[in-house]
Amino acid sequence: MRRFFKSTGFKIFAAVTAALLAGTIIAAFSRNNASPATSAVSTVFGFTQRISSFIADKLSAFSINFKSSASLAKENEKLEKEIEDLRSRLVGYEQAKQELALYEEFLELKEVNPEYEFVFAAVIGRDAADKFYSFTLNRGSLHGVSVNDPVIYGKYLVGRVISVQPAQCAVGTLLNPEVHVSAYEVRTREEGFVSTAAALSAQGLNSLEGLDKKTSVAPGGIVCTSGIGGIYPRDLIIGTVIGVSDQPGDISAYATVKSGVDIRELKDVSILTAFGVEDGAGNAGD
Amino acid sequence: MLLLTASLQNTGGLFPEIFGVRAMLLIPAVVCISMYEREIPGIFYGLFAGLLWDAYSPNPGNINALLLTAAGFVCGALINYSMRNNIVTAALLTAAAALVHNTAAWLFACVIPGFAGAGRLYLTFYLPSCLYTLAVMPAFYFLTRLIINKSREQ
Repeated sequence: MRRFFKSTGFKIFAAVTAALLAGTIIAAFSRNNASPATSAVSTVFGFTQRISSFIADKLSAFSINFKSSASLAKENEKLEKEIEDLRSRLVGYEQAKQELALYEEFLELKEVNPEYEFVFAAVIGRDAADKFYSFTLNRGSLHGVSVNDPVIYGKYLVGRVISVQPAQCAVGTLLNPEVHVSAYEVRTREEGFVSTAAALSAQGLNSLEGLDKKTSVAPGGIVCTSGIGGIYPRDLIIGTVIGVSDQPGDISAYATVKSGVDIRELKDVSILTAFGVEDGAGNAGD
Repeated sequence: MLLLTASLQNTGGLFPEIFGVRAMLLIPAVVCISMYEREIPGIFYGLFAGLLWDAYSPNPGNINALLLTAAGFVCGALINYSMRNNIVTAALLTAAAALVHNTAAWLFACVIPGFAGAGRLYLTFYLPSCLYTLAVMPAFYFLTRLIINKSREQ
């Protein structure tokens, strides 16, 4: 046993573990929340994430065409090829239409808030061990992205950047219980904070907490960011109220909020790198 | 092989989910490689695989790198000193590594932050994920054996 602990292998293991722990401590104190080793590996091998994300997108379209083609192939090969060609054109048209709608929303947001600065980004990976729908984007500190930058889809808030590497960043979404957002309901102007729990997150829902027991908030109400705390700008849409309940254990109430976008299926988003005088207060949460 | 495995594991839509449960493909990959390559190369394969995983992870620090480095070292050392290299051993080591990794991930992601419903999440996501990971292990074992044998022939 003593010989094992004195072996070269154990010494190397101890040295590597010490280096990783040092990297973890550096990550905890750094602005980017990322260790040097992870940043280096992601910069060098980041292209594989982009390639695999590209392949995943193409495969999801190809498999539908293939199954459809297989059923038609025996009957009429010429018509089958025409159908495939029309389908691929339709897919391209729908994608272009979706992108145009997205850019129109961004343009509207930019026209109302000319001081906003955006970086467009694509989702290139999702951690398999993360249950709260966090994802990785293909933009990082080299593109002006910083920790706590809000991430949006059109006018909807999606989450915030929680760690940054040179060419990519990780986003904690609204479906992550660690992400809290100061918010208010538009009609009643009642303020609270939006968060979630594991059970709600699995259904794609959030809760607007801290409401008065006699709240006037009702289903159908729109919940927006209040701008308190400086992490998120004011009036980004979080979602729609689908129910109001009493908070168990205290005298307040809470509203269940459904986001306007399906965070679990997002492919493209925008990162707000600047939104005015008080952007990016640099705090861990609201 | 580790680059491809990391991409398969962490890119949505490339590897199937079963009722929301995902397989942690890098764990059997590191275990199987370490069983053939032994403890010192196992450390570095585990380190590389863990850093690749951490690049996708929203959690700061190197938790995946630490766990996979330890898995690579321990599995390689066990095969070198006391266990035989066969598929039964591979299954045992993969199951143990997956359980340790997923439990640690659950502790850091859910228990320590104090989220409600953490216990239920462990039973509905993290434990089934261990089983799914174990189910895909044979593919990695035989693929690793094939690659190692081919490289030794050359």
